[in-house]
Amino acid sequence: MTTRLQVRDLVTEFDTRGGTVRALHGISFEVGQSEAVGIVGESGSGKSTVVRSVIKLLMPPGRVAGGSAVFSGQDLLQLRERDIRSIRGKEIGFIAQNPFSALNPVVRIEKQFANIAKAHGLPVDGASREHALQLLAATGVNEPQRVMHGYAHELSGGMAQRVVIAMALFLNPRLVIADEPTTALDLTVQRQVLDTLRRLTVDSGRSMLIVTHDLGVVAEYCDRVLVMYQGEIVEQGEVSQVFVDPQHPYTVSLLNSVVRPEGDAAPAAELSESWRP
Amino acid sequence: MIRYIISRLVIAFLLLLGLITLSFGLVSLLPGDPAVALLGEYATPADVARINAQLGLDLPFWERYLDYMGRTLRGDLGQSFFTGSPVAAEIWTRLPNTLVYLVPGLILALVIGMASGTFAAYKYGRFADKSFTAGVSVLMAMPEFVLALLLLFIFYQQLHLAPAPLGMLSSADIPPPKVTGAVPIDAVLAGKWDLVASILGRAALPIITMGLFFAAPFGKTVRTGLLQVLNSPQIEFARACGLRPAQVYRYALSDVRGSLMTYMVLLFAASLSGAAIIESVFSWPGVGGWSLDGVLKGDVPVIQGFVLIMGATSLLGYVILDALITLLDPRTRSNAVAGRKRPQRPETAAVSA
Repeated sequence: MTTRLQVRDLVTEFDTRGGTVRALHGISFEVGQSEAVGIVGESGSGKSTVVRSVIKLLMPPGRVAGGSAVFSGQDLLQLRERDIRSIRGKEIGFIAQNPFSALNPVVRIEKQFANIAKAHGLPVDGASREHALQLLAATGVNEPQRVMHGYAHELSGGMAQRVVIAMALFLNPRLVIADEPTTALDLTVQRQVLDTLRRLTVDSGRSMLIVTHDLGVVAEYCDRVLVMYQGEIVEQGEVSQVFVDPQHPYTVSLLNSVVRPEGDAAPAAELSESWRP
Repeated sequence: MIRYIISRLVIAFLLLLGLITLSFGLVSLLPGDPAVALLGEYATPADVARINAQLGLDLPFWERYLDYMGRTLRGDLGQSFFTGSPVAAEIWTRLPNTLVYLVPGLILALVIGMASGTFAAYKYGRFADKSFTAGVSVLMAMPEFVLALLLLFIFYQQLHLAPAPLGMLSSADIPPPKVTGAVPIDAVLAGKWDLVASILGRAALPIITMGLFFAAPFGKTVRTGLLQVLNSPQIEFARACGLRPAQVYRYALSDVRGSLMTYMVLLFAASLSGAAIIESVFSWPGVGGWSLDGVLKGDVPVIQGFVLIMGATSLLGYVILDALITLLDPRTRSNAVAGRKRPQRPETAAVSA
C-alpha cells in the first residue's frame, strides 16, 4: 500500500506569556492510500492540533516548530501560504466539527460551492453546479436543489454536516481530514453520516484521517488507530490488534472506560505512575 | 417585506411623538424662567406676565402640549426668544454647513478605521498591531477640541497649510446668490466652483478632526470584531476549503457587518452632538455652534429645535439600520418577510448594551 501522508517528528508549540508550551512532542504516523486512520485521545491530548498543524491551519500563538508532513512528494510544513492554500480543499478536504459554525450563515450554499471552485481557479458553470448537486445527493441530502438555493440555518444538523462533507469532497481531494465530524450530531444521525463518509472516502479510493474521542467510531470505521496522550502517540497499529491486545496502559484504561450495555465494564484501571510524563 | 417596512415606519413615528414630548418636557425641566432670561433680573411682575402671555407660557399645560405637538408636526419649531428668527428656517440654512464637514469626516473615519483595524487584526500581536492599539488609546483619551487645536497648531500655525479657523467663508469670498439659503448648496447651484473649493479648503481641518476622532473607536471595533471572526470555526473552514485571502476577508466581514453598521450609526449620532465643539473651535456657522449658543443663553425654542432635529436624525438612522440588518441576514429576513414573530435584534442589542 502506498503512503498518502507521512508525518515525521511533528513538534508544535504554543508561545504563551509564561513561556513556550510544547503541545506535540515529535509525532510520527502515516496514512496509506484508501486507508482510514483514527486519532483518539482525551481532550487536550493534541489530536486536533495534529491535523491543524499538518494543513497549516494553526492560529497564532500556535506554531509548528519541527518535523515534516510529506504529501504527494512535498513537505506541507515547508510550503508558503499561497502554495498550501491551493492544496487545501483541492487535494486535502477538511470536515469541521460543527456544521453550523463552519458554514457561512449569510451566503447561499450554492454560492459557497461556487466560491470554493473560484478559489482554485476552476470554472463556475452548469457542470460544477451539477457536480455539487450530485455530491449532495450522494451524501444523502434530501432535495439537493432546494438546499443549494437555501442557507445553512434552514437545515437540520445531519443535513448541514452532509453539506459540509459534500463541500470537502467537491474538488475530489485524495485525503480527507475530519475533526470530530459527528460530535455535534444526534446519536441517530451519527451512524448515517459516518457510513456516508466512509463510503465516499475510503471505499472510493480516498484516504481519511479522522479525529474522534469515540472509540466506537474508530472500531467500526477505521483501519488503523493512533492513541494520543499528552501530545504523544502512545500506541498505534491495526484497529483489530490495538483493541484486542492493547499494549499501553493508557489504551487499556481508554478501552475500559467504554460503557458496555452488559454492565460488565471493568473498573477503570488505575494509570500506573511509571509512564506518566 | 413591505409589511415589515411599514411596521418599522409606524414604530418610528410613535418614537417621534415620544421625542417631541421629551423636547416639550425639557423646557419645564430646565432651570430658569424664560421671561426673566429675556428681560433681565430687574423685570417688573407686569412685564414678566406680559412676556409669558406673548410666549403662551400662561396657558394650561395640556393646551401648551397639544399646541406644541401640532405646530412641531407641521414643521413649525417656533421663534428664537432673542433674535425672533424662525428656528426651522435657521436649522435648514445651517444644517448643510454642518453636513459639509460632518459627512466627509465620518466617511474618512470609516475608511481609516476599517483599513487600520483590519490591518491590526491581521497582524495580531505584532508590532503593527501594538502600535495601532497604542495610537487608538492616545486618540481616544484626547477630547475633540484638543485634537482640533493640535491640528490647528500644526497645520495652521506651524506649516501654514490650513486657513485660519474663522468660519466657512473668508471675508474675500462673495456669498452666492440666495436660492435655498444654504451657502454650500447655493454655491454649487450657482456653479461657483472657486467658492466650493474655498469652503472645502476651510472644511479640511474639521474633516480631519472628525475623521481621526471617530476613526479610533471605529478602528478598535473593527479590530476586535475581526479578531473574533478570524479565529472562528467558520473562517477556519473557509481557509480549509482553500478560499483566497480576499474571499476569507469577505466572509469575515459578512459576519461582523451587523455590529459594524450599528456602530456607524452610533458614531453618526455621537458626531452630531460633537459638532457643537468642533464648530466652536473653527467658528463654523453650523447647527452645533448655534445650538450651543442657544443653550448658554437659555433660548428654549433653539434648544428644542436642536434636540428634535438631532433626535429625529438619529431615529431615522436607527430605523434604517434596523431594517437593513434584519433584511441583510437571511436568518432574520425570512421571519420579517413572512411577518411572523418580530425578529430579535441581537446585533443592535449587543452593541448598545
